[in-house]
Amino acid sequence: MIDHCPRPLSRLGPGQTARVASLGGGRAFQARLVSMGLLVGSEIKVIRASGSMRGAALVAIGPMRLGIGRGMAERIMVTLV
Amino acid sequence: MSKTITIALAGNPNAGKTTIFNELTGLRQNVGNYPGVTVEKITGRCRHDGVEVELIDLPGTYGLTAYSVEERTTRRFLVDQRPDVVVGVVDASNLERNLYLATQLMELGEPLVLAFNMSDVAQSRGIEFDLPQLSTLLGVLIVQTVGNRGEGLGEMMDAALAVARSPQSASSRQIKYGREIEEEIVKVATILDAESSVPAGYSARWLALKLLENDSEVRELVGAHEVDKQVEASVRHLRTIFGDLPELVIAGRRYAFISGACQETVRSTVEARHTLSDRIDTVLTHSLAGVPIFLGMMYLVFYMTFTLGEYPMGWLEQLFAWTGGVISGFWPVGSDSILRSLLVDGIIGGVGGVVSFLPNIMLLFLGISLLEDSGYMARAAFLMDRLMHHIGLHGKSFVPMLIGFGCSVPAILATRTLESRRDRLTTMLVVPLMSCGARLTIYALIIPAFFPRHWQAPMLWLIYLIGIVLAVVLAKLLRATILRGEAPPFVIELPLYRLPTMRSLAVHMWDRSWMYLRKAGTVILVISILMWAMTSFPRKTTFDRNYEAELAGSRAEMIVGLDQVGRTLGLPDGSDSFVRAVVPECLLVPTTSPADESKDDPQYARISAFLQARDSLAALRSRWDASLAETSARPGSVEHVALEHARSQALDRLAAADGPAFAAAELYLDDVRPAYERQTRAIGDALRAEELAYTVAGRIGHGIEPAIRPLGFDWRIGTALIGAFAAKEVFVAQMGILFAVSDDGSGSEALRARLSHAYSPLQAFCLMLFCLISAPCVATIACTWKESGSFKWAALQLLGLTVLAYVLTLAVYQIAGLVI
Repeated sequence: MIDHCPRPLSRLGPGQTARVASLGGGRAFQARLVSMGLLVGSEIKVIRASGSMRGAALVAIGPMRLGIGRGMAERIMVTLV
Repeated sequence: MSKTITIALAGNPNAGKTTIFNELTGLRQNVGNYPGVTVEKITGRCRHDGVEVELIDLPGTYGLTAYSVEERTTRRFLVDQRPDVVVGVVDASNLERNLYLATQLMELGEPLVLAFNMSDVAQSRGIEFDLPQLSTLLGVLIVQTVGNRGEGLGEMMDAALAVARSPQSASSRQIKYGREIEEEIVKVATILDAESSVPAGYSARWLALKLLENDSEVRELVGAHEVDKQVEASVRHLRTIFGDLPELVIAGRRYAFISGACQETVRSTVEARHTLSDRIDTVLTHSLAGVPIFLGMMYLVFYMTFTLGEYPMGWLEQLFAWTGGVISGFWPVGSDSILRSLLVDGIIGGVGGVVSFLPNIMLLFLGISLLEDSGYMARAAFLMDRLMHHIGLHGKSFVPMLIGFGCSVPAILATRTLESRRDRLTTMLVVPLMSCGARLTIYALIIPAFFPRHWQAPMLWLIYLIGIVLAVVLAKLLRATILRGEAPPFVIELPLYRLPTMRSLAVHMWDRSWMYLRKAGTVILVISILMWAMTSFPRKTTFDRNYEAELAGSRAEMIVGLDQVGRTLGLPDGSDSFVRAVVPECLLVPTTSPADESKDDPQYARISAFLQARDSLAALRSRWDASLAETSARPGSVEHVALEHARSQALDRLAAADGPAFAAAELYLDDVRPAYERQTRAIGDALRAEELAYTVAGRIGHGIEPAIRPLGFDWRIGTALIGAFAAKEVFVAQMGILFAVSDDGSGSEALRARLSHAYSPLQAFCLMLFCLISAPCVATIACTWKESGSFKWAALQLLGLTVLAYVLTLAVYQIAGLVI
């Protein structure tokens, strides 16, 4: 059974795929994420999890690869697909 | 048609704008391009179809909002300058995200052509386009290009020129944002028109849309109270309908428009994957191995800079030495000509000294361009985010710091990519601690002079590392005190790994090297001449000591010594033919061979026996030194003992052949001649020191010497450091001038050898440390001033770093002095 509860992106493990439920952070930053192609509804695949070492997460959105800082990954809520 | 057409290239970072720009303009750029980031707009020219075209390469942006400096500059440029055509460079392999910027260009009402770049990559990933259909849906001309192979660029220019000739034909489609948003746009636009607060060059619809998107710059631009009130009401209304910020809803509609257009026209036959790039990333961005790999790569860059640069640098040095010799040859030996001194000591010594480091600079920039063009630089920022987080910055601040290894000025400009002001200021202030290319010339001069070969690369690496560590500590300090604040959010795009093209590497290298050469030919030339004058004037005519008498005295002493040698040789007392034969070579006056002159002398046989013994002994000793250096054998090792044995056997043979001649040769080589050379050199040094101390530079240097003596610096370093404030390379030029001026012109000793005589390795290290940290050059300070918008920050940077340099160098010199 797939858990549809939104959870922070930072909790996903490598290889997991999820859909963005909501963005976090300031207005300017949200707009930046959107212009970079990360918006509500985008499908995200985690390539490198941000893990316990407070590193940035490496995710794939379509053909793109984005590095997302730990703080940010904690505020982007996703649902597993 | 004689008018120049202006074409601006806009697009996402890594979409290949700069590659297209370089392909079209070649090397005919007006402003040098810094490797890595296009920070300022760059202009270049080319001709197409008989039309003179001015191309403008804009910084890479994801949107045209007011959220970051580069987006604002791009937007302002497009609105204020109104280029004839904008070419939207689009990464065809990541179409939807790249078209997001294109939709904003369309909305701005620019005559637009889209270049679907990297279409070869898109094709290899199985993406197929129905270009005519997509072109109709978007309402813009679309051409396919492969920037790095120059494919499709002709068609691109054809299309751009066609649009330039009839801009109205390129009326792109308006995006419809849905009834609710459109209603609010109309409301705001109506008030804008009514209040007549639409600035020239803008459309009311665009302004209304931007106001709904919470665009601070447009709000300031309009600045009408009535409008603000309507916008506030509209935003509130939209938030209740959509339950989200209007700017996000509007952005969502743009993406919907794009995917609607792409639905019918773009087909992907293969699942979008780029396994190779991802596989490289599993290693290079590994959470444990990533950082060590990065440090290793940086080490490799410095190693390459040094070892590969050594040979061409040697050739250039020889070339300048030869040129100096040729020019000196126009004057009689020992000439006191001021012009000769200006040309040889001032200009060739100064500018030549700086230009000979060109190979190092080229290699350093090649390394940085390689890291950047391959896509690795973004990975470095990604990897460093964790570490940077600890100092209150984020990974993106790392890119300006890396660029700082090339030059602080573009690095400070590159901080524009940082959204938060506190971040920008912190990064700007610590960037000069990244050893720039100009400081590399100082290290490249000093390190080989004082440290053995196998220590050279680690030494250079250590100096760079000290800079990095200090930058980290200082940034943390700034973030904890005057620039306190939460660590900003971090997001960065990691472009596909690419094999950099030779052409783009060459262009980067050439641009940067050309700037370096230009600087050498202008600023450094002027400073060199100034420094030469300061070290030459005023000239002292009466001296404190009678140097002539002192020289005559030591000459008389030498003749007494030579008599002693003659007696050892077995010649009768008072025989002056021996002295006559040997004196000229001691005085370094070129003559015919002394043996020829005294052929009819009865003592000829003894004298030539002496000369032979002397030559054999000297040759033997230099051979011994050479073979020891070759094997690098330690005293006591088997090799060393064997060499020593061979040497003493050879010496014994020489002594057995002619005892008195051998003893005389030993006395001459070990006592008489070195003693004379020592004395004359000391007298010469004292004379030159007195002369220099009398000059302007000498007076300044001596004036500040008490302040820098505790750091291990003498007055010569002091004067050079003052010049280094203008440009760091000047330090090298000035040391060249100072040490050439203090040379009587007879020595061919290189500057390095002279330096290593004058200073200890500890002093050399302290010197590098001081140059690393202290006052960045004038250009950096000016850039900080301009970019931070306040002189306060530039002054803080200047004073803070100089004080830090003083304190740290003092500590190192004094503490190490106790230990050593």
